[in-house]
Amino acid sequence: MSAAAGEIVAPESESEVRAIVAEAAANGTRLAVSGGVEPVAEDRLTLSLAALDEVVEHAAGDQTFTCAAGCRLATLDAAAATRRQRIGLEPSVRHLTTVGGTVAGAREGFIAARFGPVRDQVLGLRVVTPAGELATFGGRVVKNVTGYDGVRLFTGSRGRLGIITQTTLRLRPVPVATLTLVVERGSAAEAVDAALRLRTAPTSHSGLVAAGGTAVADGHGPWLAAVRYEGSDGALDDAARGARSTLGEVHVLDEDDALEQWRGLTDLGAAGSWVTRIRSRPSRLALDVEHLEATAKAPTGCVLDVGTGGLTFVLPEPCDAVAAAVAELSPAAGAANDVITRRLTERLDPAGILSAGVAPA
Amino acid sequence: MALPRTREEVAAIARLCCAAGAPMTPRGAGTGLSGGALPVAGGLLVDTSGMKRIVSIDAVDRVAVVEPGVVNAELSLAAAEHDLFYAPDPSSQRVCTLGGNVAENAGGPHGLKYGSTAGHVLALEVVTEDGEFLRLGEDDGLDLMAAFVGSEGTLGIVTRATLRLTPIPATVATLLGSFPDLAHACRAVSAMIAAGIDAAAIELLDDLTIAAVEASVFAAGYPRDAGAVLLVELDGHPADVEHDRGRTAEIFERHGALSFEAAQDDAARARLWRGRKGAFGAMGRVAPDIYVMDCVVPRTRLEEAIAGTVEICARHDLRLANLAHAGDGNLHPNLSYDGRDPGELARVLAACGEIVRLCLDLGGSLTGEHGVGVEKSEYIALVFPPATLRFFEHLRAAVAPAGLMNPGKVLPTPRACAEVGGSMRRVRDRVLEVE
Repeated sequence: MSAAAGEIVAPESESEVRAIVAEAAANGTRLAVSGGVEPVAEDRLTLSLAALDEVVEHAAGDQTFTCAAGCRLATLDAAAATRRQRIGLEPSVRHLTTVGGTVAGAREGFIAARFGPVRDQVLGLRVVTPAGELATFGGRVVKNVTGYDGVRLFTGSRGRLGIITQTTLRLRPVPVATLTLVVERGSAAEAVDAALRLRTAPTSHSGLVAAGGTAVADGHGPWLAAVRYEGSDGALDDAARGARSTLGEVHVLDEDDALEQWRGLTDLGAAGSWVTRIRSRPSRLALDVEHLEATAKAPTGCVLDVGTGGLTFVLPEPCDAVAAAVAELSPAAGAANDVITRRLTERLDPAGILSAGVAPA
Repeated sequence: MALPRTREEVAAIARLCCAAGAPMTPRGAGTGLSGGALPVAGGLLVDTSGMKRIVSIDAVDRVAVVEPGVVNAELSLAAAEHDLFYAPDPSSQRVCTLGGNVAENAGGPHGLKYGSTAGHVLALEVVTEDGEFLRLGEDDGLDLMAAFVGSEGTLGIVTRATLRLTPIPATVATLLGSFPDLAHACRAVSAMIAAGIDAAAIELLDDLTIAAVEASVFAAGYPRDAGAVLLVELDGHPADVEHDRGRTAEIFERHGALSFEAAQDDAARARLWRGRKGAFGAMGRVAPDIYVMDCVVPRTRLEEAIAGTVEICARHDLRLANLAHAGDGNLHPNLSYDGRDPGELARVLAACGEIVRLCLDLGGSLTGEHGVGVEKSEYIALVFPPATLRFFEHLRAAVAPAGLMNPGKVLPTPRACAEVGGSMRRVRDRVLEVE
């Protein structure tokens, strides 16, 4: 490895990743892991996993998919769809997103309302440790309590504990049909209330949000509640009837509009915007967002994930007052947690090649 | 043995033990099947079953905050008035505690649809070996909560848990299919999974289990002439349930089902489940002792795993009854024996070792829901490469550096952390030598 900070290396195999990491550990070279093809840090050597994109196995009968970390979610989607299966992650900018990045970043989607967060979709991992060794966690079975749950610990760890080189993900059946319903409301509190009413239907749902501000198209809103029901035709008809009887006027989106709606909400805050996320609870979402809106001095966009309690808040540019309000609403890690995290990363990565200076998610 | 009643008492006990260098073993109701609550290194047994307060239930956020001694089924009973329930349902749910469930990452029949305990824990308060409180799952730091769930009491003692509650489904259908043999039943399970039927539970019982159940107070009306039965539960919207009921019946017929029964009412549903839930108890009629194994394989390898298990037990001249959370690929071979006969016990342990290796060879894992405990700690080196075992050691040493939390469980490491690398290597070498 002759590359240095500010440059990029793109290993083509797991053993090459191990060699690069081992050398970095020996030299004290800090690494930044990426699924892309451009350097991502001036002060670190970028290790790109883009070339590690092999599909190892789509075990349709087991509803599992094993692939290298650089495999694009779009590749996974296409393979799974051939057997009427899907991954329990929100469709987004799939051509850009890698499986490894998705797991390491644990970016939660609305579909978590049905299948749980990213960590519940991951069954097994292969990881190159900061010493350049190969570790495995979990496996290819859907139920497994062997050893400590390294799979969940690595999910969302943002590369601090090691470099994920391969993942086994759980697949789910594609539903018979889906139905997206939208209702317009005048405030965040009213939109959250409408979403909670939509939640009471016996039909399964895989997305339940309240959205406002720039997240809502002109001429609508100012707030809306949206639900994505899944099931047989009878279950969906029943859900639509129930929604109309409790909420009055309900818009039924066709398939294309529904896809656009959910993608738009997922990708809220395109390049150039300042996006902040906090974890809240369904019952607190409206209060939290009103507090943030009162603090901000610019047009904002908000998506409240009523299904999981997540809150996404978007501004055109960074704002210190909002950052302070967000910090106030987000519980800080306790001192004892920090001590454990530091002890663990010091043991795993004494040279700090992966863990030093990585900010929390 | 200590019987704390409050979280402060747990912390005080931990501080005393830490000062004295005494090991601590947390214990709930003691229903675990891998020996996780056995104080193998001596010291103090910390029984949290007296901390049994349901602190709060929030129907809007669908969460409950509980103390560790709350019995699993009692949380569902309390949540029912809000049309909610707590989904993980180990067979011991009327007795086992939620603190123990968290420590063991307990599963249960309905884990097929709803997942094991880990998917239902939102936050934890834990006392560490030095008596500090940790609050996990509430911040955006490293997901340490993930490491605590299923850590078998080796990282700390749960003093409070925030758990996810699930809406009670609108409809539940319980179906029973009987098959000429295990192979046909296994193929029907694989076909259901491949067809994407979203069943809440798919349970398998073999002929010996059926005979034991039907001769006991748990008699459920299972066909005595069947080689195996599948107990299937579907839940959700009535239209979805009806859709999947039809598809299940069709798959059963295609795979040679001898009979098909759909429970018509709650009493019939309860009857069908009574046999499954009472199966372990009913096995007491077969022999004085029983070894309940817990292994897991990919769902497409179920037939091979069960056929292999039958062959291994026949070779060791052991009576085997097969039960399985078949939809998850989670096997519970029950080996009956007489513990007064040391030769028979040795044959049981030898057969168990072979079954473990069989499941690993089929791409499976050591334990699906019972945990490693003391039962399988010597096998863990067969599952993971050395770097994973070192990671586990580092994790344990980072959280519990004095090595006082439930030593001897998960990893065969009763000694202080500085020595564990060596002991792990020795155990691994020993296991490989036996092979």
